[in-house]
Amino acid sequence: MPGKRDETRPAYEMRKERIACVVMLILCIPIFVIYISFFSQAFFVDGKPSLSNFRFLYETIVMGQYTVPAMGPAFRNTVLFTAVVTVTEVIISCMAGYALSRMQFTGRSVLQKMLLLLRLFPGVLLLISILYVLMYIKLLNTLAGVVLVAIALRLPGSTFIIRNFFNDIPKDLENSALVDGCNRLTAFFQVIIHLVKPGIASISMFSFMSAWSNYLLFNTLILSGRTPVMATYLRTLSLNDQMIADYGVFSAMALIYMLPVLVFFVISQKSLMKGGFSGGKGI
Amino acid sequence: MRKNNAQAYLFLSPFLILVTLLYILPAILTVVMAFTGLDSSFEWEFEGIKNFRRVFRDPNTPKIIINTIIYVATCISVTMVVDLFFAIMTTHFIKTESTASFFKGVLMIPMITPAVVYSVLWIWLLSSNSGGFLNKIFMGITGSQTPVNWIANYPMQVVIIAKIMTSIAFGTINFSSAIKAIPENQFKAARVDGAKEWEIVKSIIIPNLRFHILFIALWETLGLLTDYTTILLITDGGPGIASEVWALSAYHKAFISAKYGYGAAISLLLIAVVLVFMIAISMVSAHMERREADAR
Repeated sequence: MPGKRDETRPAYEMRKERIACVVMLILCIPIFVIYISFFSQAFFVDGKPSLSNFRFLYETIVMGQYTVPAMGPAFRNTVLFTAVVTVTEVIISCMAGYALSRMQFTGRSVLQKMLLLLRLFPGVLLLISILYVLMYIKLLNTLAGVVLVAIALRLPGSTFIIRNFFNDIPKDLENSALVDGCNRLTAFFQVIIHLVKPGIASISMFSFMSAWSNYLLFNTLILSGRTPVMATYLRTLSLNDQMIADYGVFSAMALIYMLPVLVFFVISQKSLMKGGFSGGKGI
Repeated sequence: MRKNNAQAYLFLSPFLILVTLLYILPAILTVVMAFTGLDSSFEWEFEGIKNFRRVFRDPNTPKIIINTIIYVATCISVTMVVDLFFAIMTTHFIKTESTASFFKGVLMIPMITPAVVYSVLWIWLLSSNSGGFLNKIFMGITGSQTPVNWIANYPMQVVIIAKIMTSIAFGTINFSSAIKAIPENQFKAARVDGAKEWEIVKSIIIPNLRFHILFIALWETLGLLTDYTTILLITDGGPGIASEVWALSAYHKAFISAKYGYGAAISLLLIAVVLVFMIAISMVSAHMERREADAR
C-alpha cells in the first residue's frame, strides 16, 4: 500500500506531494465556496442567523401568494420508493447473478450475452414505450409502476456486477457446502451470500443513490403530479417565482433532502471509490 | 455438471420477467412505434417512414445535431483530460492515502448531489440579477454596472461545464485505481534513468492506461448521448433550441407535445448510433479482460 511507505519516502517526493496538495486545494476551493454559500442561505433570514427557514418541517408556510404544500407526503414516498427499489433490486440481481454464474441450464450462454448487451443499453431511450407498457398494465401514474421501471432499468447493471463477484468465489467452497448437506437454496442463503457482501454493498449503494435522487422517471411516468416525491416536489418549488426570489427555504429543503445522501456518502466513500465501472449508468 | 433447468429458471424468473416486460418489450415497441403516428389518443396508425422524413425536414434538426456534437465532443475531451490530471495528482503525486481520499471525496460532491438540487445550484449561481453569485464577482472585477444573464447568453457553455463537473469523479476514480495497478518497478526504472515527472506521466502512466482511457471515453460518450437530465433541468434546451440535444428533443416531442410516434422515431435514430458505441465498448472490454487474464 502506498500510504505505508511514508517513512522511507525520499524528501523530493514529499515536496512534490505538498505542492500537489496545494494545487488540489486551490482547485477544490470553488466547490467548497459554492456549496457552502448556497446551503448557508438556509440558516439566514434577512441577513440574520435564524432557523425559521426550516418551519416547513412542521407547518404549512405561506410565501407571498403562494402556499408551500407540506413536505411530509413527498418525503414518505421517497423513503418508501428508495427502500423498496434498493431491497428488491439487490435480491433479484443476486438471484439472477448467482444462477448465471453458477448453474448449468439451457440457454445459459444466450442469457450471458443478453446481460452484456443490456448492461450497456441506455434504458432512458425506451421511456416513451415504457410509458405505453405501464399504461397497458394500468400502472401509469402510480408509485408501483415507477418502482418496477426503476428496478428493471438498473437490473442488468447490478446483475452484471454481482455475477462477477460470484464468479470470483472458488467453486470448492460451494461444493463443500453442497456435500455437507445443503441444497442449492440453503447453500445460497447460508454460505454464498456472505461471500459476496462487498458486491452487495456496492450495488445497494448505487441503487440507493440513484433511487433517492431519481427525477426523470417520476417526471415522465407520473403525469398527474398526485404522487409527489422529494425530487418532483423540489422541482415544482424551484419553478415558482416566489420561492426563487429567496433561496432560503429552498436551500433548507434541499439540505434535508441531501442529508441521507451525505450520511450514506461519508459511510460508504471508501467502497464507492472501489466501485469501478458500476456507477456509470445514468438512471 | 448436471443441468437443472427448473432450479436455474426459478432463480432467474424475477429478473427475466422484469427485463422482458420493461426492457425488451419496450425496445420492440419503440421500433414499431417509430413507424406510427401515435399521439395522446393512443391509436396505432402506421405511417411508414413519415416520421423519419419529418425528422430530416425539420428546420431545427441541423442545429440540434450540431448542438449534440458540440456538447458530447467538448464534454468528453475536457472530462478525459481533467480526469487524467486529477487521477495523476491524487495517485501518483499524493501518496498519503487519507489525503488522496479526501480530495477524491470532494470531487465526488457534484456527482452525488441530486440532479434537482444540482440544477438549482447552477441557476442560483448564475442568476441574472445584480445580486447573483457570479454577477457579484463579475461586476466587482470588471467594474461593469450591468449584470449578465449567463444562462440565457451562454446556455451551451453552462450545461457543458455543469455536466463535466458531475462526471469528473467517475473517470478520476477509475484511472486512479488503474495507476495504482502499474507495477512499481516501472517507476523505479524510470527514476534510475533520471526521468522527469512529465516523462514518467507521458511514457509510463498514459501508455499503461490507454485501454482504460478508451473504455471510459466510450462509456462516457454513451452516457452523454443519452442522458439529458442535466440539460433538461438547467436550460430545458433553451433559450429557443440553443441548448437542445438529440435525446432531449425526443423527450420534448414525446412527453411535452405528446407525439409519441415522432419521439420514438427520434429515439430510434439515436439507438442506431448508440449500438455502434455499444459494440465498441464490448470490444474494448473483451480486450481488457484478455489482457488481465494474460497478466495472471
